[in-house]
Amino acid sequence: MKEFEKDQLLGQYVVFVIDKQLCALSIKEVVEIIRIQPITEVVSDRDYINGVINLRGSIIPVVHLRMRYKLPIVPFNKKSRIIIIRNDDEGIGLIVDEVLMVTHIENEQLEPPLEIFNTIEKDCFKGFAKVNDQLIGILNLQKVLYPEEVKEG
Amino acid sequence: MEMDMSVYLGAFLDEVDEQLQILDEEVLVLEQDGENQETIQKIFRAAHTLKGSSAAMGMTTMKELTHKVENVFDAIRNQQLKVNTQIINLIFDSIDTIKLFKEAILNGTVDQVDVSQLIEKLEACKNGATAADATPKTDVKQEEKKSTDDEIIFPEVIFDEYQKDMVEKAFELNMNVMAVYVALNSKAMLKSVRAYLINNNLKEIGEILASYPATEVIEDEEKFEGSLVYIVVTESKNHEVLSTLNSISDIKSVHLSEIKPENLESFSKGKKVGIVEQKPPQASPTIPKKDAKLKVQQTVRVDVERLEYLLNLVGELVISQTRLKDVGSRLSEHYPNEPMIEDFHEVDNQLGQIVSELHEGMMKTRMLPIEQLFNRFPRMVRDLAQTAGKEVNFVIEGKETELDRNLIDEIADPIIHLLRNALDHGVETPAEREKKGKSPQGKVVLKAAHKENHIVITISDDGNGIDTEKLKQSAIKKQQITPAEAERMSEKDVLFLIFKSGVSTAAKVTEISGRGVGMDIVRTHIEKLNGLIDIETKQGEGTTFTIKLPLTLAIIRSLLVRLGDKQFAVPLVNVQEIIRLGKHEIKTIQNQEVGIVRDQVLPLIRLHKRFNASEEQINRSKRLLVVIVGLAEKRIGLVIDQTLGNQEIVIKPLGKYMGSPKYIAGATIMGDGKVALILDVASIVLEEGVKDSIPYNQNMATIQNEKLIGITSFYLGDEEYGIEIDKVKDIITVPSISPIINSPYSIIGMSNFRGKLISVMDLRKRLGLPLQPITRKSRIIIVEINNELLGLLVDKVTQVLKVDENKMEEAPNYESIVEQEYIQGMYHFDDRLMILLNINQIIEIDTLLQLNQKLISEQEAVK
Repeated sequence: MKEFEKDQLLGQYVVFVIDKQLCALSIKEVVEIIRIQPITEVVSDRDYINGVINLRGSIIPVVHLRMRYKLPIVPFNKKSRIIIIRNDDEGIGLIVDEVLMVTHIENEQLEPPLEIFNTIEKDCFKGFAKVNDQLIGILNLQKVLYPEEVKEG
Repeated sequence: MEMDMSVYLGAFLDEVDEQLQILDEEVLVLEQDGENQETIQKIFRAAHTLKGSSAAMGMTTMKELTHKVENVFDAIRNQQLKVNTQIINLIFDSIDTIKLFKEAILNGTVDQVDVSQLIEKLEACKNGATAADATPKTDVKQEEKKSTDDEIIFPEVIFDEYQKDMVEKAFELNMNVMAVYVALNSKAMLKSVRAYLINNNLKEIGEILASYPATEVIEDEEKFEGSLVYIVVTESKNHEVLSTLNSISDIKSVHLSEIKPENLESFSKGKKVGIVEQKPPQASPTIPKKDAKLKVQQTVRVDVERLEYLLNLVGELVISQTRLKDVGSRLSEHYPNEPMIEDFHEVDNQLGQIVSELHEGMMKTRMLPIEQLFNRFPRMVRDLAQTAGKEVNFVIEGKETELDRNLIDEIADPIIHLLRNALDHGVETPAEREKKGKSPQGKVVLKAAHKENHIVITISDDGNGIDTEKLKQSAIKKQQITPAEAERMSEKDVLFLIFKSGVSTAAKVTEISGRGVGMDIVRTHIEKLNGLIDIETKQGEGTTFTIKLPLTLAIIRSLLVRLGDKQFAVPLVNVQEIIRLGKHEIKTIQNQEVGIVRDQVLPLIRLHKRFNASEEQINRSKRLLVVIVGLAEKRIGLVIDQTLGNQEIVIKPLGKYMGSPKYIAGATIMGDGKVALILDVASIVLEEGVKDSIPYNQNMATIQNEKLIGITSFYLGDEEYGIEIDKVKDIITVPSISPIINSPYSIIGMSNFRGKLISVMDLRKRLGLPLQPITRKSRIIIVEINNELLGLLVDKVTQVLKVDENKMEEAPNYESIVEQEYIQGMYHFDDRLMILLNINQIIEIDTLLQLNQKLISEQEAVK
């Protein structure tokens, strides 16, 4: 990994869990984290979009990350959360199993890409970091949201 | 010092608009009554005003044109010229050219408007007049010029007969007549423009009867000296008149001289009268009284986008308020004894009221009366009628109906097309009409009205009606349908063929219509607006088109429905009706489920799978709940589990990321905070509706040897009976029935049906069944035998169904309790039996004729 790319990865991250795997999104990308809301199912071409929710009067689509990565669907529980991110001037929710923490990722924590993340497409990660002996994948939001383009590229 | 004329451009264009409207209206009146002095005067004044303002704005060509028009009307009002069609047409041409000017001014292409021909014609017209005797004209003598600066020389005031007449009329009405003497500063720039402004301001408080010197002089910057006299008829007081002129700069002095009956003579003789000196009051606090004729309203121009934003916010408020109400009722449930909750409800109710008023108010800001649009039509209709050689009485109703400004623009085209059709194909020529025994003048009615939250616009004529046979032939010729299909189509289906491109009943293509594209345009426009269109026609009696549109595009009324465990909103404007269909009324034709509803085949659409909703409930239930939705002329039935009521909803987009999922128009937030999806009826109808033409064909093929007849079925007690639908004219709830003495055949009395007296027969009595009192379910079936009407009282009417005539069975002797001779046959269904009655046996035509004649004579006796 080149140095400047590494530099870009430094900073504060929201760390969450999808099917036991730790993933992270930069705090700059995250608007807020809310509990699971009633979701109105919408059938669309993007089958990983679970539906829409009402966030203070705005209609926001929610992406079920387990659906996105074709992982087994489990019922929502107390720990389930929706991470609201901002993309192209509109809010989008990401359903995750659990939000763990907000942490700062330092230079020395960054790790080379590893093969253990076999269930989530490798393309979706910008890089990896080791925090408290746990490996965290830093997600590339664009590739999470637009898998069609990942395949093309 | 250069004066920026563009400041006045807006005012000028408004003025032109206003005067053109007057011209349009008044010339139409003049066409009807060529002698109407008042109208002639109004037209003259409008032309005069236009001339004045165009000159002030430096539009010389336009001034010239309006000047010529004015001349022609001057001749008319002095009775040197008689109004004829040629003149009317010439005037209309001139009006159109002025309209062109207006456009040209906006586009900056004034130079391209050519008026030379028109001016020549007008000139010729006028010359025809002056060749005749010349009566004394309004004389305006300029006083001899004296170049002393301090002494202002005012032009002399002389009234002609007409003006004198008007002044006298004004006295009768207790109005004030004043001579307003205005002197401008001698060094003032653009005196003509000032004069124009003075003219305008005076017009706001009253009517200007005359101005001296003549307008030509005022307009000419060279000749105009800067002193003016206006004769004004007004309700306002002296100081009010003065204060209206106060705002104009460069006025040196204003004097008023009241004209009273006593001094009128001196004015008309041309003598000078003493001038009442009156200093204009400085910053007078009095506000000019609003004149009844010209209402000056304070307006603010607002960016539509800003309004849209506010409207959205109000939408949010509506949602929040609904939620608050929801929370309130949950709180009540939770703490039934908490007195504070009462307060909560009170506040909530009040808030609700304010919110709904705010909503209404906001909506109104976007609303304009449809008058704007409708006012364009009388002229158009008149021109079309003339081209087509027809006489038409054009009636407009509901001008004041308000609707969203966006809609006004969009709806213009469809209405124009429908009006054209009404004139060209609907209304017959006077000769034809007379032959048919109608009045030679046809009638076309354009009507707008609010109905619940929709705008309903109807265009009806009393013309020929639509010839469905011709339509079929045309559609077959254009290969839109096959002859076999045509055979099978119901009357309504055939009518709706009119919306297919290329289909036309017109024998020939005229300038107005007949190419068969117009109706296609109508349909497309109405589809775009999410509206509905319906046609009703009666051969020889006329046609009515009904357009139903949503009042606005952002907040809509909707029907909430449930599919499985999911809620959806269907825009109410698209909902035709909600029906239940029994299993026997549902057929499958070529993998397409269809329902038979009152003789029509309705494609049924199940969206449960599409929306991932459970089908368990509808699979269990015996009868299907179906919402008939429509777009323009197409109808389909949506199978639903349950209706949840009507609600006002705010359409919210799903956003870019979501894209546009199939069949979803958007989402809305419900009272409980959940999101409900709004069905996109347009795309459902368009996509699913396409299929209906395929099964239609197949339908023909598979049941070619079946002979379907429609039957109205009803009950008498537990037995089901039927009457062939082509004998049934209507089914009505039981009206009041007045008894008839000595009536034969179980006739229990007579009743009023659409203004006609009809006899009502108790069918139970007729068939020898025990009598029953009339209940809520009782109905009267109006049957028609050889054009004679009869009402049949039955216990209840259930449905209209289609049966194969070949499957009719002979009536068995033993089973029925009704006498054999009244029975035409029987039909077996899965679970029941229906007896088809022979209506001709139940009442003989001769008897019915006698009965009805008796009724007619009785009706006349009452009169």
